Amino acid sequence: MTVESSTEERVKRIKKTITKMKKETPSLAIILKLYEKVFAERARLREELPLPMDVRISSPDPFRFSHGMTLMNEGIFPLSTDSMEKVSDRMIPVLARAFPKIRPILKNVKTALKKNKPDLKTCMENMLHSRDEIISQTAFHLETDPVTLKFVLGQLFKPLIEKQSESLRSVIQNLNWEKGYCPVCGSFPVLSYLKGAEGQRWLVCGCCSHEWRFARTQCPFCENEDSKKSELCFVEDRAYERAEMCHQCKRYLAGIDLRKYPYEFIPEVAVAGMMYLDILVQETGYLPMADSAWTLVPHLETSSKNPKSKVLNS
Amino acid sequence: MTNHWIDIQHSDVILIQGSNAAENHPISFKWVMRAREKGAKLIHVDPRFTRTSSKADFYAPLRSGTDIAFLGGMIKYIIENNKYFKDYVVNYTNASFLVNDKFDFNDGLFSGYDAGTRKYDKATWTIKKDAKGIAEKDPTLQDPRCVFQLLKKHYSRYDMETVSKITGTPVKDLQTVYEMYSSTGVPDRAGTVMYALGQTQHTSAVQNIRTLCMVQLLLGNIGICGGGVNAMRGEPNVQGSTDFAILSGYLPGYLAAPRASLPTLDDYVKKNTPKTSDPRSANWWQNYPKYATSLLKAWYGDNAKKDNDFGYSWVPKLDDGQDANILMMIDSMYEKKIKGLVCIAQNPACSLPNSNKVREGLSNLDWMVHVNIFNNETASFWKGPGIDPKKVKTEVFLLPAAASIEKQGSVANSGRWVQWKYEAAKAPGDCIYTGDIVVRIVSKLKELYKKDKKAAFPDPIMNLKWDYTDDKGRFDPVKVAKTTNGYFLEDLTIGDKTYKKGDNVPSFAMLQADGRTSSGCWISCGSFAQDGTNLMQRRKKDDPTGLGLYPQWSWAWPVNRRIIYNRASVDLNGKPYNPKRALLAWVDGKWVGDVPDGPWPPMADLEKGKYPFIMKPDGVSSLFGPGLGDGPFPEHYEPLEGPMEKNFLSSQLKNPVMKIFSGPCDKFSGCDPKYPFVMTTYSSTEHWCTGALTRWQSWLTEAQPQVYVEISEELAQLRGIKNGDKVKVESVRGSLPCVAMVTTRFRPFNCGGQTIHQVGMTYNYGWLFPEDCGDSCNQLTPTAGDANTGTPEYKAFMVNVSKV
Amino acid sequence: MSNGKSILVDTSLCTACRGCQVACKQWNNLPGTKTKQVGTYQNPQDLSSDTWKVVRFADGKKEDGKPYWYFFSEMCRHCIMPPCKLSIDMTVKDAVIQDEATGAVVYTEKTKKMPFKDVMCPYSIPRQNPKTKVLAKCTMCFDRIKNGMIPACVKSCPTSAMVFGDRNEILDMAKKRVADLKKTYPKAMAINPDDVRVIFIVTDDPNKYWKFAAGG
Repeated sequence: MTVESSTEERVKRIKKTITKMKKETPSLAIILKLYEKVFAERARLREELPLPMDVRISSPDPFRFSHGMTLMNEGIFPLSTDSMEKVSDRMIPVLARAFPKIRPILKNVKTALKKNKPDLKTCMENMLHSRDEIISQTAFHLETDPVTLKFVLGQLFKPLIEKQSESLRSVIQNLNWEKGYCPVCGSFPVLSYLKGAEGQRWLVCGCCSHEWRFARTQCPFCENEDSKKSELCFVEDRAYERAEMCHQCKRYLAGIDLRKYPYEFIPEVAVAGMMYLDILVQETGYLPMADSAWTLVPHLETSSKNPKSKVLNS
Repeated sequence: MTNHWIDIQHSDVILIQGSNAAENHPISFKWVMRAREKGAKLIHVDPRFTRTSSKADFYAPLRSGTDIAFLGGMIKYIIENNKYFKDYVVNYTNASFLVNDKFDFNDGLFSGYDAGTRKYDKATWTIKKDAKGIAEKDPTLQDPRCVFQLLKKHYSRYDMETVSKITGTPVKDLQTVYEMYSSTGVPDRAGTVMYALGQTQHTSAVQNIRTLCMVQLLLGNIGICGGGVNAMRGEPNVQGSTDFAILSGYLPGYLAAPRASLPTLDDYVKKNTPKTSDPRSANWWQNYPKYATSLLKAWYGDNAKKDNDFGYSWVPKLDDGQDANILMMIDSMYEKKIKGLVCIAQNPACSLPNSNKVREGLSNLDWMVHVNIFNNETASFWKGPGIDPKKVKTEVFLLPAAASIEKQGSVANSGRWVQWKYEAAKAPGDCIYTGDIVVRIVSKLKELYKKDKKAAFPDPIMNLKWDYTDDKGRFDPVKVAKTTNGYFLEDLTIGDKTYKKGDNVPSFAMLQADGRTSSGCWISCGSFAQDGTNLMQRRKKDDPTGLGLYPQWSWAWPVNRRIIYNRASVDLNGKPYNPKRALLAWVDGKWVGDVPDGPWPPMADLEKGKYPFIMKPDGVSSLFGPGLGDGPFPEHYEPLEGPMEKNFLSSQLKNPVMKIFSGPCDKFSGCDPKYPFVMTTYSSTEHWCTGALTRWQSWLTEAQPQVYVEISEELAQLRGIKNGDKVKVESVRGSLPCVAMVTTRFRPFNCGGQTIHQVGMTYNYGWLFPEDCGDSCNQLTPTAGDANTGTPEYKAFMVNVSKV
Repeated sequence: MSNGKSILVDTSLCTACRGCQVACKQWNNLPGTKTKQVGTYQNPQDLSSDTWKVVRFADGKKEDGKPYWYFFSEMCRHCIMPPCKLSIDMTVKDAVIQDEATGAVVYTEKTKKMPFKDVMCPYSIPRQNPKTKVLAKCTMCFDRIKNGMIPACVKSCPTSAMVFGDRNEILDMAKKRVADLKKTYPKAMAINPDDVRVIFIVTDDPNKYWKFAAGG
């Protein structure tokens, strides 16, 4: 009873925040509307899913961990298939409604999951390891392209991955982590936020939504610490939302300053609400840090009404 | 070296095994000590405690000739304790490849062994391929037939207790070394391996080095800044001489020596050009035909034409199965099959194993031309100890040569940097460049062949392009270097660039297989710019990466790449595993940093991306390496002469495929109580090789005046020897008086309860000068060579030491 | 006012390549002497009028039973208040010069009048030429220094175990090095830095290197 109510509570908050955003930034309304149901269903699943049974909960070697070996690298984060069926049953209809264009692919994915051919679990594992060969092959079988397939699989299995990541949080909570990629799954962040009076910087993993603290002025992607090589890009009246751009690796990360953020902070909603910045920055040739599976922009048709932007030295 | 000297400073853990770098490569310690100052740990693994050990954070003793056991134990440790760098292992090695179901290993022997010929049939040492000819893989590394699982199984026998019984290294020490070194199997730490003759002078030499490579691959340490497998080469341009095919099995640029069964150029290139069906493998050696033709064009010039196979038939061929290494050469002299010898800048009467056999071989020659800067024991072998000059028929010509610093030319260092140097002084008296000597001899040969219409097979001499002299008729090193680099022989358009006939070829990527380019050594192609600027002369100190690559200081082969296989330092998306030492990164659709191993995008680009190990047909490095003659996984065998009656790992005591010589001079002792101690030989800081150059230098002979044997206090007590006593060291092949140095730096080994004493000597001496310095310790060493290269086993054999 | 020059010899970086020993002989035109192998890497066995720099080798066993091998690149310490100069001054005037710019202690030919047994040196450095009776030792290459070069031994050192420079800087450097080394080697110390210009850093008891390492 309580679980349900807290879940519905969260779903309500998501809706409320999105509604507020839509009102204030009408240009984002279409996108936000598309994602609203996806986020809601994902939130429900995250609560409902049982903890995966076949995940090995063991602690990593602290030395190797502190030198950048993720739980994924160490084989402590294998993909659990316990609840795959449930997740796909629930997510596929929602995704189909939100993104009519990918319906044929979703249909093929559904069949594949039933037949277990092609093996989408292996495909997903390969995706987490950035090994794209099998993804291409699978994409060919499912009559789509690898980028779309990655997006579909990413959206589909995200609740599963998030749940699994959550179950591993305890094994690393006391360990030191200084890298810009996720200590659990090794993916790069989709979001950086500053919180507290001193503005502690936290990163949010694009894949498993794990959050970890990171150096305030360092680029998570190339570890550049030279402030001359980084810049913040934001729109004049929304300075709390900015793209953290690194000129060394030509990558950017969406960032928000929670101290001035006018909405309730829900990471996935915040990311969706900053898509106007993604478009802006990507037009200058900068790429997002996270894999395309976890970034929302390239897969959507968006209007290119560019609000005036301003680039400032950080 | 995959890396270079300066790069050692970036290591976090330095493993020196099979080298006494502090003594024999003193400058390397500039960088080792710099790394240590930044917090790096130095490990030294060696039979004796040397000046290198004295600077190490951890020293582990090991009995001579047991490196594979030691490192095999490390492989087991790395795998079983999950210390390997999984992303690297899965993506950049053949760990995931599935192996032929018939491949097997049983009690020390791999499948396909023929005891009669002492050779393997390697038919089962293959990778399974799918219908398209692409390797079958299991990226989860779980398949029992995948390389990773077979590797795990192979080394599962190398547990620390067994390893300790073989190597004599205490288990505690093994544990410490394994733990320290495997700490580098993470993205932001680098481990480097420095080795030298301590690895190569064994009957399992190549496999020793392969084991080191495998350790490095498992830890993700190859192709990265601060990592690599780094062979330290000797001062006298050893790197350059191997690049230019001083080894009998090669042509310049590591092309294979032609064989008699390959009568045409087509046969030759077909045999030696590897193929791949995998579109993602660059398979760089597919360019073999271009390099072979360009080499022939460099040698024979206009005489090399398409319709005469570019003169391929004029190149000497080895017989099938023939091994022409130096041990075989001496054996042939000894057997009176070789009549004449041109010996340049070597002192084989002291430097080669079993030197009494060598000296006898020399006396069987009709003539010997010896080119050197000093007289030495080889040029004067006919008046050496125990030889009656009246009975020696060999006529010896000693030609005085200019020393290295009296010559202009290129020198390649271990890091493959080819630096141009100038004459620091004029050579004294009649001494001339060795190049001048060769020029004069060949010119005379051409003259003689021209006169003598009945001369047999004049083509190779008469067709040789021979224009290496300046306007005064002297040897011109620049002309040689430019020919080595190569020329465009016709106007040629490649892509959107046009090159004129006579331009230097600026990169081997532009060499052609149709005779329109020449290059005397394809890896040197690019040492001159198109306009003829000598890039080896560059001395600019710009360091754009901040990693000490100094891309504008001299020139490095290949194509000025300072760290080879550098695309293995990034992940599949081209992002450096260690951004703090970013050797290379894919930024804005191009590579930034060192010269990348090929222009292709990172592997995540499924269309254009290529695997990083471009010299391997499969594009990845080989944990399973079927190329060698003695097995795809290194296996421990005892040295030819060893103290052990059994091999604790199998019933195969010795390397099953090594060549065993059997002449009257080639005697070997097994576990003979007459020769109970393990001997290893080496060099010292103060002398260079046999001392042929340094023994004439009074400050150096003052510092190291006489031959000595280093023995432990325990052995000294056993034999009643005191420090400084005169002793006799004997093997089954010879005996040598010398001075005993009793020291705590040598300690007996405990090998499975058996106490094994190890002793050591330097090979820096010879009977000629100074008079009382003693003779070469190579009178004791066996004629035994590595199963793959024939490199002599100087490092492990059996002797006795007694007081005189 | 300048505090003169100093040389730092960090034995923790020394690999005993003996480049310094040879470079010293080369610059100072000293002959190689006839030696014999007597059971040690060290040769010549000691300083002499023909050997002003000798690398001493000391091996033994550590507490854990593993070997050690210490190297001590012996040379004149160029004391701030050189006891040799004080003792020689009492007998022969102006036989020893203390160079003002560098602080180098340099012997002249006049030292031949000095009875050798009365020369005081806590580090046992001076030697007498058996023929000419002139006393001999390291000059800090003050002739090179005057011509803008660094001492020959320092120049030859591949690992930068020897560093030459202004005394104040060298003293700072020594302090830092010792502090760093103490983390790994608790016994690390600089030997008499306030009294000598040639400052040795050791990582263990100086007596294990050489009996006069820290003065006798």
